[in-house]
Amino acid sequence: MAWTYKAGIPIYTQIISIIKTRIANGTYPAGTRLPAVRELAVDAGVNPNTMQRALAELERSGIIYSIRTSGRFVTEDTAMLGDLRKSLGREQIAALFASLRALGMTEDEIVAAVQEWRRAGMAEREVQDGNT
Amino acid sequence: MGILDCRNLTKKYGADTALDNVNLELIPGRIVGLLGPNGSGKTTLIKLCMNLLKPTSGEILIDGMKPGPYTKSLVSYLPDRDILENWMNVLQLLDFYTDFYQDFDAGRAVNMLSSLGIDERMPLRKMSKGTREKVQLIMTMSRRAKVYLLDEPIAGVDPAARDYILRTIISNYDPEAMVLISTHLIADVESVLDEAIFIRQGRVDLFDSCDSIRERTGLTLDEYFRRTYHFE
Amino acid sequence: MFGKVFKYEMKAVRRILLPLYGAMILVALLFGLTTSMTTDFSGVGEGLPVIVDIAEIILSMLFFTGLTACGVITFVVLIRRFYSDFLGSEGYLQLALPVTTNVHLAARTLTAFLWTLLSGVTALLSLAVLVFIFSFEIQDLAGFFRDILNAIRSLEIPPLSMILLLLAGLASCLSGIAHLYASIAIGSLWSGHRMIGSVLAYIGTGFVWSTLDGFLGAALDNSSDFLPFHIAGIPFSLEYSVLGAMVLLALIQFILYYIAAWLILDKALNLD
Repeated sequence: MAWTYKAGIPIYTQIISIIKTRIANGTYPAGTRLPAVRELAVDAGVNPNTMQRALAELERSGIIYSIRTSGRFVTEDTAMLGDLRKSLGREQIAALFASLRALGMTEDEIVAAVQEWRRAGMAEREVQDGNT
Repeated sequence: MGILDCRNLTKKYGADTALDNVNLELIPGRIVGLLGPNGSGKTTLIKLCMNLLKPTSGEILIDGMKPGPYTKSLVSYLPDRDILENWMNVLQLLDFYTDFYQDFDAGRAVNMLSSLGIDERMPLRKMSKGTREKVQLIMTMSRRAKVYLLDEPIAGVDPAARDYILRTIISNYDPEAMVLISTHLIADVESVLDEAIFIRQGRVDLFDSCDSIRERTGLTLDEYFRRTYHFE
Repeated sequence: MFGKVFKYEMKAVRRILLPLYGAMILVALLFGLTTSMTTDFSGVGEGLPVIVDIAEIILSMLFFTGLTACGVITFVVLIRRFYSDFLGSEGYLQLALPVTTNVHLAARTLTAFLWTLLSGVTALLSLAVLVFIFSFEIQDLAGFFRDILNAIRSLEIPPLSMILLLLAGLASCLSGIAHLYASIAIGSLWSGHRMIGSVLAYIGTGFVWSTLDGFLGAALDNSSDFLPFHIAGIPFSLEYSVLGAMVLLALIQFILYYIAAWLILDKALNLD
């Protein structure tokens, strides 16, 4: 039911990340209307105040905007959305590097492993294409 | 002055102190958790709100007034037990609430009941305990009250019902009302709470916004509770 | 608000008692029928099947136990209602209502009073039905009733006495109910021993009152005995002053018990 939340970080911050991700991956497509605060709050399993706070932050950053009687909308600004994807992507890469470093790999080893993984993936797909 | 104020509120039973000098100011628009181990004084505090008990000293005020018939018209109370008149069926229960509470929204109640597929003509005593609890909750949340007192609303209830209850609490949110959820099942409710009151042995240890507590301690409320009260 | 609380109290009680009283009267009816059938008035009784005899016996048992049962069940239902409304789970629902303690208490008192009266009426009605049916066999029905009326008239009870007697009965009924309620309220103060506490309170307060009653009776009236028990005792004296005093005393009792119950329920409630 509810989204899951971690310790140590305020919930509204986590909600901001989740909504940003959803915008970036197209769950809330560009230019479309977001569900109402109450609905989002129920979905997220949080207090509407908390959701409101998160949405206010997002509005301030420009990712979403509100029209008084109509509700809140995702921006159509493709540049901004592109930047969002990039920054979310960077966060994921940073996280990946952090966890692989924790396994003892150096940054060069990590880059090499990624390229190897990609090559193996492409080869597998060729085999599959050959079989069909 | 908030919608619910406790000023030096003390309740003693002979030598036993159930509440010791409690001071709280709860304002509308918040969902507040009253969190503490069993026997910490949570139910005592709620009963004092409802005039089911009288303070030994200090005072408790709802909208600036002492508990009495008028404040009861502002407060919607969900006790932690089966309280409905079991001879009634749901229709009669709806009439009952409409009769006594001006702020009762029968339409809202009917919607919630039908979304759960509850048959209005069925007598309450024929329902399963879980269904009766849901009916009790629906009645309580269908009032447009200023204060909602929910005493252990999710204890002893299956996970699906727990979800339903929490969703109902969220979707009934009213910026002019204050919801007080008393529970010891903190992990399940903490994402719903704005503020938390940590109470132990009749004393309020902490009253703060949940986000502050999380930032300060780096823990979830549940983890914080476990660490602080782990020998109770 | 009083009207609403009273309405629901009546609803809750009548769903049990109304069918019960209805059944009682039905039993009286059937009993009367079978008895009049089996009683040999005109020599017809010889040819009736045995089953009617058996039915009559069963119905006679039902009738007499039924009369007792009506009284007992009425008592139990009313007491249980009071108890659960103020001291049991239903208390959480009832006492959360935006209503004063007095309204709660008054509604229960009135409900109990009405149903107690109704139970008495049902008993009388059952007997009347019995007599009525039986009297089909009596040739001179009108004469029968004339005889009863004459018998009552021969007692030479002045009408004012009858009225006072009636009022005394009603007032005793009220004070009896208030006595029970006050005892339950007092008993609730002894946590963990509410039941025993109530019984002790009942006996204790009853004893105190009957002592007072006795003194008052002795002071008021020298010629005849004045029974101290407040539960509709049969007065030996039909003098207006005595009867009037009885009514007054019963009312005073009622008020005192009511206030005691109210004080405890309002100030010292101990909901489980």
